[in-house]
Amino acid sequence: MAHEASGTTHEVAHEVHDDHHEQSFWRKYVFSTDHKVIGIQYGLTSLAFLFFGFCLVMLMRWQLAYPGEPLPLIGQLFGDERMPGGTMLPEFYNQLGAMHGTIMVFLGIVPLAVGAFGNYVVPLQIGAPDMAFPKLNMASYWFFFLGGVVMLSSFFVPAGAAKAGWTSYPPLANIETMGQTIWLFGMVFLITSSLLGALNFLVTIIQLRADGLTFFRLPFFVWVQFVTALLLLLAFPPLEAAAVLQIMDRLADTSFFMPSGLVVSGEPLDIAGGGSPILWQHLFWFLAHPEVYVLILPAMGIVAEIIANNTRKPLWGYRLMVYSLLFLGFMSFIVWAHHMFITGMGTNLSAFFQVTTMIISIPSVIILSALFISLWGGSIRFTTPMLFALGFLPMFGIGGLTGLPLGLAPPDVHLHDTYYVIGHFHYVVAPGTILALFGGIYYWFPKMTGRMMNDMLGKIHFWGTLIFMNGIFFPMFIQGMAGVSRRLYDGGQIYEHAQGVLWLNEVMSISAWLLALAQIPFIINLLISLKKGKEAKDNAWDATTIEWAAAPSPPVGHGNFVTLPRVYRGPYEYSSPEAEDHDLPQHVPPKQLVAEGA
Amino acid sequence: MQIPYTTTARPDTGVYNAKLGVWFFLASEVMLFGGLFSSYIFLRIGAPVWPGELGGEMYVRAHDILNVPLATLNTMVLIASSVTMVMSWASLMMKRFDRYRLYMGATVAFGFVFLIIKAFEYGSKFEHGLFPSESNFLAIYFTMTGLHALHVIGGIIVNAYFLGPGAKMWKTNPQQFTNRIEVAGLYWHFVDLVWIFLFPTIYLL
Amino acid sequence: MNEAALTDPAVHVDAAHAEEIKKHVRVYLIVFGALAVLTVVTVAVAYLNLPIVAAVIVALIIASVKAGLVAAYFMHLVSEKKVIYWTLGLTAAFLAAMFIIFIAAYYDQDGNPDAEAVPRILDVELFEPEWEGRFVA
Repeated sequence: MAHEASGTTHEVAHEVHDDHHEQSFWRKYVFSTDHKVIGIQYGLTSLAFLFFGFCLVMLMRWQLAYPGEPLPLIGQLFGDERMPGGTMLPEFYNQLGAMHGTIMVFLGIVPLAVGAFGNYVVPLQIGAPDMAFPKLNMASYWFFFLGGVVMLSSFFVPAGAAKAGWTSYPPLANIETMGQTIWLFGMVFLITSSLLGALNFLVTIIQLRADGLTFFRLPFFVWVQFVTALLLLLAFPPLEAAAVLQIMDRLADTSFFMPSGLVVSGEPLDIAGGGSPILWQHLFWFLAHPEVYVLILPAMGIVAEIIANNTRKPLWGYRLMVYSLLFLGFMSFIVWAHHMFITGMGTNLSAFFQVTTMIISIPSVIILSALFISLWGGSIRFTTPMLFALGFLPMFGIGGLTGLPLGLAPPDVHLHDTYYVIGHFHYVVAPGTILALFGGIYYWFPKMTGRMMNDMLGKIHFWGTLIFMNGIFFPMFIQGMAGVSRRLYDGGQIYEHAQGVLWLNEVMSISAWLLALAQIPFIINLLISLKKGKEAKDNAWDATTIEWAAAPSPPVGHGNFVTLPRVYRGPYEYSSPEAEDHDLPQHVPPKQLVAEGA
Repeated sequence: MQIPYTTTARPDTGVYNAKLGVWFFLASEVMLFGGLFSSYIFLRIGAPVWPGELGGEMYVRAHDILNVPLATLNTMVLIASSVTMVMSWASLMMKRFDRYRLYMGATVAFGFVFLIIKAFEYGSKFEHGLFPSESNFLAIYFTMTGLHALHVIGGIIVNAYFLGPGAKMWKTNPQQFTNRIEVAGLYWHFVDLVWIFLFPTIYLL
Repeated sequence: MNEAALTDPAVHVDAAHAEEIKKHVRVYLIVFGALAVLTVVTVAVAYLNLPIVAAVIVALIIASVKAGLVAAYFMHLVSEKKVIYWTLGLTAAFLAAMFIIFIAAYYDQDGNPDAEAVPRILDVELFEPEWEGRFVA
């Protein structure tokens, strides 16, 4: 065993420090193999991408609220091929839409939830010196970075970025301009990155758990990262296969996704034909449904950590939550075709997918209910992270429940491809996941920097974000039920049935811009707290999990722990009756507790 | 800083990190090729005739278009390379580094032979105007065998590294080096395994 | 046979273990022979031009046996640890789900086309002469 650590705390800490003197700036901060540095790299990059993706949609919202009107001030900057005279062209609108989805999902949320928080927190929570494969970890980040650069570069090729939506359905995607090819290559990089990351997480969690840290003593956040990694590992490769096939279709003129007799712009295509556009949808949704859980599970994990910590009591039904999580992960692989009810799918298959979809809602409801019940009888500390966690619960509830009609074929026929769908999944991912991720940033910021974030600014940020997010997404349900389609360049102006709900476009757009303003306190908070924030104590929130209880903030150099901790109990032994209502950190031996009279 | 269980097995799981890691990697590779195989099935059962029409002629058997003798030879080559791969690991287990070099050298050589035969096969297809764009059968053939060939190239690079510069580790840490060869072997056998399914499903059926 | 000594290099290798491995080398050579023979058999069967269903079944059985031999002996799956069996079992389950549902999705679409007919989806023609989309070949 490699758990050798001798000498006093001070000596070893000094040694670790010495180790790092020799490393150059590049090795230490850029091409680092330390999971903490990589986690922060992931965090900053993905926050930048989140902001960029949000900017894209703010441009779209102008066009939706005021179709055809030139965008004042900055409209001219985009050039004549995108916004002549400041008025957005439909092609540019489509680029913005496709890239907003791609960037938010693959370059924003997942890298922040998994790459940043997973990387930073998981090894600390399991008492490991680093990830199992530090070099692969670094490679994973750089593949991600490269994928992001490739994606962004597609805006500058002739005819601009991909325009076929983030789902890239053929045949449209196959006859798209060059941007689509770049999109596909970007996806290959991102898939490689997440593959390397996922197998690293799995091996780390299985192999590097501290002594005594059995699976049922793992913090819930580690559990969600474990299941998320499994989903990424096994669901992404079929999309990679699909991307390879679409690359072949586009570059070698094959017909994997091209049916016979396809006519475009009045001209028959000169292709062999015999392919199937539906095949793409199957391969795509085989990934993309598990991907939904990749987006939401880490958020649930963060919320679970914050709730246990701020109610000062164990999570209600920890084991039940874990079993639900495992069942959820498993089921997420066999629900994908509920995205395809209107593709001419037969009734038998449709019945199968409706049943599995209804079944998968059960574990989600169990986890959410367990989190709600955990609040019962607690003396809740309303810290900033706790506000975000509490905001997550009802928001994810709305997102989840509005999904039920979409999981049943008959209502889906009406609602499919309307704004209702957009509202549904944004409620899951934006007021749901993003709130939880903000909560995570406020919760673990002291761990990463040794300083607290400002509470006042945090609360302003929370309320602004919560209110304006609802202002954006709730009207979408109303528009969707009125039958307004998504992906309409003019927001539905030309449709008779949309006239009654068109005024909501302006409400949503103004909410979106106000949401941007509501992020200013967050950005200021993040930057100022880095240098000027109140100094945090090592265990800033008096947590029992070992990333807080057994390591200083920020943790000592590469290697995390002065001595690798040993674990004696479950993760959330707050206010334990065994120790006169004191908290029992995971790593403190029972004897020592008695000796200290705790 | 030392990562635990890089060379020795963790007592409760019984494996060292890299072995578990490579199995997870192979699991994802299974899903990658699984996606391609299910696409193949999906397209094939949707086609009225398979392989179908090519250059004005109707084909009902793949072996009328593809070169089965060459592919059979390639199957043998790949199987042989799998044997030499596992022998190179067994040699290290018996502390016979000289034999290891011999077997590993043979593995890399077989890998090259496979690629050369493949190149001839592709070349003669192109000469006859048989490109991936001609039909879905050829598209499947080129895409799947092409992706497999990329995996072979990847394996050759890894094996060549362990034959050349990577072999220095034998002197400093023989245990970890043996582990590395085992892990590289697992990947190489997987590449062989994919071919074992590709060969009958594409060439023979 | 002491499989653990073979698959777990952590076990100290002494002369006795070297003997064990020599036995395994014999197994490897037998497996090699079996794989070669099965390859010849599968090619021979292909030239019999069996009906397609029979040909698929025979070819897949032979391929599975070959793959099983490689996995069991070359990849040491005959004596592997539980965590690896779990990983592969899970993967196999999802792979099976993918195969089965993909095939089901073909046969259960919009009126269940019979296998002989060209599926309806391939008959779709898009005539939209008014549409001014960009077309790049």
